[in-house]
Amino acid sequence: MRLTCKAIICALGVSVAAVSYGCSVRGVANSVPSRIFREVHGLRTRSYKISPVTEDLRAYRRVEVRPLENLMLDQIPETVVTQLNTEILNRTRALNRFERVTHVEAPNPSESAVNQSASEVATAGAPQELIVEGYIDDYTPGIPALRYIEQGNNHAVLTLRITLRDKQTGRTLGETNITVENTRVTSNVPRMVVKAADEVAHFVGSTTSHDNGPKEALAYGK
Amino acid sequence: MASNARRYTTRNSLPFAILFILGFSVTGLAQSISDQPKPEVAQPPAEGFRLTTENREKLVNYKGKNGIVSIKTVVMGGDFRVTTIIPFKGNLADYHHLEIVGPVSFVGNALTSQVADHQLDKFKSQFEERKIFDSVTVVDSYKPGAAGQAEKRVQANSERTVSPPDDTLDSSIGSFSDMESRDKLRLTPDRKAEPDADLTLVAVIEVLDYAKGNRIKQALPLDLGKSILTVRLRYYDKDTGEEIGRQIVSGKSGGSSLLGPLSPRDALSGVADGFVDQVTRRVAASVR
Repeated sequence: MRLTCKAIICALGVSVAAVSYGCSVRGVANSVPSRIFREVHGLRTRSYKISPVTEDLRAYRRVEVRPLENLMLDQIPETVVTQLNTEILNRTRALNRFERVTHVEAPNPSESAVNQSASEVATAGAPQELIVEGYIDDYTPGIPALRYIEQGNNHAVLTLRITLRDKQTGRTLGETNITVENTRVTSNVPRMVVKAADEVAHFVGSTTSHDNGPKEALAYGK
Repeated sequence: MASNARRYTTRNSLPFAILFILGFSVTGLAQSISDQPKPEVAQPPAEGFRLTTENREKLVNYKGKNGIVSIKTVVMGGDFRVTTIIPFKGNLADYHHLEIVGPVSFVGNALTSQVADHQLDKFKSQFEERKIFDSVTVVDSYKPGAAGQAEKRVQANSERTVSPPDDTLDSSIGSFSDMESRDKLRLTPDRKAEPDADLTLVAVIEVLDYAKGNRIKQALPLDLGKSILTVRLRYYDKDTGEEIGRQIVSGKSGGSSLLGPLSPRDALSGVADGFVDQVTRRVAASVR
C-alpha cells in the first residue's frame, strides 16, 4: 500500500515537472519571436482622417504652429508637452516647404472677429497662411515592468488631433487623428513624442505638397 | 526505393500538415465565436426610458476591478486601463438615472454606425445588469451647459414640493375619497422613501482610437492584429451642465491571453468593464 502511494506521488511529481517544463519551453518558444518583432516594429502609428483635406493647399507658403491644447490636464508631464510642441515646430521647419514658419504661444481672442472681415477683403496677392493646431487627446507612459513579462495593458500611447485652418477665413481645411503606440521594452516616452511630432510634420508636408482635390477632377483636367 | 522515399517525405510532412490544419481550424473557430451576428437587432438610440429596478444594497461590498492585470485578463484577455483626468465631483449616489450619449467619432470612418450601436448596446446592457440606476437611456447628443435645462429642473422641483398641499397641518379636511387615496398610498407595500435628489448623470463617449483587430494575425507570434478601443468619457450633471468627471478608458485584446485568439473578449469588452466599474465604484463609495 505504502509502495503504491509512493509510486503515485512519484508519478504525479514527474508529470507536474514535465508539464511545467513543457509549458515554460513553449512559453519561451512562443514569446521570443513576438518579443523580437515588437522590438523592431514596436513604435507604431495609426492615423485616421476625421475630415479629409479636399483642397489644393500648395498656395500656403506660411505656417503658424500653435501649441496643442492639453485635454489630459496634469496627467501628462509639462516637459512632454513642451517637447512635443517644440518638435512639431522644428520638424515643420525642417520640411523646407514654407517661406515662414512661426510659433504663436496663445492665439489672439479678437482674431476670429478680424478674420471674418478679412475673409471678405482677402486679396489674391496676399500670401495665404496656414494654422496648425490641435489637441492632446490621450497620453500614458505605460508600465515598462509589465512589458518585460508581457502582461496587461502596458504600452505607452500618445494620441493627437491635428487641425489645419486658413488664418484669414478661419475655415477648417482638414483634421486628422494620430496615435503613436510604443510597445517596445527598451524604448521610452521621448522617442514616442518625437515619432508623433514627425507624423504631424508629415501630415502638414504631405497635404501642402500636392493637390488634394478629387481624383476624378484631376484625371479630367489632364 | 522510390516508394520508401515518398513514404519518408509523407511521414515528415505529416506533422506540419496537421499543425497547419489545426491552426486554421482554431482561428476559424475563434472567428465564428467572436463574429457571430447577435440575434437581437440593435435598438436605435433615443429610445424611451426602460425602467430597471435599482438595487444598490449589494454595492456596499463592491471592490473595484484591476483591469491591467487580473486572472480574468490573463486567461481571457480584454484588459483595460483607466486614466482619470478630472476626478468625480459631488456625490454620485444622488444620480439615479444615466444617459449614455452616442459615441462621437474622432477616428473618422473607422467607426461605423453598426460598431457604434453595438458599443452602446453593450454599455447599456452592462449597466442594466448591474442595477445601479433606475433607468439607463441612450441619447443621440447632449449639449452641456444648456441654460434651459437647469431652469426646467428647478421648476419641476418646485412644483413637486408644492403639489401636495393637502398633507400640511393647515390644510382643510379632505373628502372621503382623499382619505382613501392617502390610505392606499400608505399601504402600498413597495413604496419607498423618495430619494433626496433624483439627478441624471450624462456620460458622453468620444472614441479616440479604434482598431477592429484580426484573429488570424493574433494567432501568429508577431504581435499583430490587436483589437483596440480607446474612449474618453465625459460625465455631466444633466441639470447644471457641469462636467463632473473625465476619464480615458482603453481596452485591448491581442491574443496574448491563455485562450489566445479563441478568447471571446475583445477591446470593447475591456472598455465596457472599465466604464461600468468606474461608475459603480464611485456610486458604491458614495453609498458607503
